Amino acid sequence: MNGVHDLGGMDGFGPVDVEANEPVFHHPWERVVFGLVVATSAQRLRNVHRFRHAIERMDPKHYLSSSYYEHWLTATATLLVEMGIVTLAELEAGVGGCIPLSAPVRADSGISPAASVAAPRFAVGSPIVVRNLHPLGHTRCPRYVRGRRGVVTRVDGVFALPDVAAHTSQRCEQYAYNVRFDSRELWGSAADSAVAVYVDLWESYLEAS
Amino acid sequence: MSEHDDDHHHPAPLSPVEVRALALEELLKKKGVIQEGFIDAVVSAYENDIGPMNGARVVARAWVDPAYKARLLANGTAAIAELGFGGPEGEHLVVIENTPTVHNAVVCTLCSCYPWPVLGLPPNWYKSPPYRARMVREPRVLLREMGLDLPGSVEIRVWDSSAEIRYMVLPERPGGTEGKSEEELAALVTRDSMIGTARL
Amino acid sequence: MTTRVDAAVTAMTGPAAPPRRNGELVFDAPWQGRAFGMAVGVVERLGLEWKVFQERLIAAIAAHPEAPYYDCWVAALERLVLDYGAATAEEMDAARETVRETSE
Repeated sequence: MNGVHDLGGMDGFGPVDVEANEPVFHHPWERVVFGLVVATSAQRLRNVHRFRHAIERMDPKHYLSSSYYEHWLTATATLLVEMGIVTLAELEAGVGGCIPLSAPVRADSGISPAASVAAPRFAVGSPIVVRNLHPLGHTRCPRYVRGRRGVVTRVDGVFALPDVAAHTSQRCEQYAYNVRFDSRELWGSAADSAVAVYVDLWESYLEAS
Repeated sequence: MSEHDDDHHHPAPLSPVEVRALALEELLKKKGVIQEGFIDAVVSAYENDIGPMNGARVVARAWVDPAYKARLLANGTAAIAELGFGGPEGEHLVVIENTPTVHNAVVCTLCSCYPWPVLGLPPNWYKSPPYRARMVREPRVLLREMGLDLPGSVEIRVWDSSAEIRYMVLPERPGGTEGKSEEELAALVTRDSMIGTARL
Repeated sequence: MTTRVDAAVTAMTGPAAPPRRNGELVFDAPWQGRAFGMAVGVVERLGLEWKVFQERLIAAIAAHPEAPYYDCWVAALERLVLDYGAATAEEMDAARETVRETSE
């Protein structure tokens, strides 16, 4: 999804605060949810892709104004409710107020996994362009490279495609590649010419250029 | 304790939890559950060894051993395993080398992926929106703000950890360090130099 | 030195994780560092998994969310020591009394 988490290239954030300390409990609901997380099995939340997508689905204002720990807690509470392990009513009764869960999943990838993994389509040196895909579900293709041209620098082997893994229990494995993008390809001709950005991308995010 | 000893220090009263902690320690030592010196060794390990110092040891080894450096750049995962490091978020490690003309920096724009077996837990600023948004867009400006001023002739390579690969920067060995032991060299390596927001 | 439980200790996240500043462990007083080392030592010595301590730590934090982190840590350690018979409640009371007397 084109969520607020996909931050690469956004302007307006100001300086990086190297001294920032992370608050632990910010709101009363966090303590209740934490207790429930402890009491219920965390094993079923092991799918990192589903977990990341639950964070991505947070309300943008909530995401940007909360700590890394609060992202974790919100995703955990959301998944517990979605999986039917606790109900939202139970959570809210414990707090005596509203608990901000993430928005519902809007769609899955629509990708059918291939029967087996073919040989890699691309090689080191292959010129590629990133496909202009905007799935409503989970993806690990950052927006700032979509439609952009780059060159493959590494072929990294086969990994589970997050776009599928976040939404189903099917295995869909593809080659992933490291792709080098010139800064001016990403940010226009006025960008710093001595900068390149290297991004790791799955095969279905790419086509030959 | 002499009342007339002007040099005698009266220690600040122990808080209740401090009493409990000390009592536990004495008791456990008396019963042989904890060996003398063990606690000090553990604290020292967690304060000094576990976390960024793993990466520092990798860097120091690469500085003194060119063959190790070549293996490290060819296969980071295998090379750090030679030193006993690895595990979750370190199964696919790529190490990228700084040179006088190339400077590398690592970010995860989409979340906070970080090579924790070598660098420990990520600092909060690494996970923050300003760092994640700006590092791929204006790295030279951002690095200058963070204290690293790179001339325009130095190429900056920003690595976005968007998939399963995790990255660590191999900083250049500072001048004037000839003759230092590997341990002394490791003590020079900072976390920020291995993320790429500082040079040594 | 390394211990069997290092990976589990370092992997703790959320409010049960030890306070850190830029990733480095923070002890505001020496007794906190000693409590940290003691927990690792007891778990190692008793041949336990780290999560046996971690569960007690989480319960202590959940019971007293306003309490300072290492106060909960000590409570969890006491609980572990009692639960696994490394010491009795009477022995702990006596040890505390001794500490109080010798510190005054």
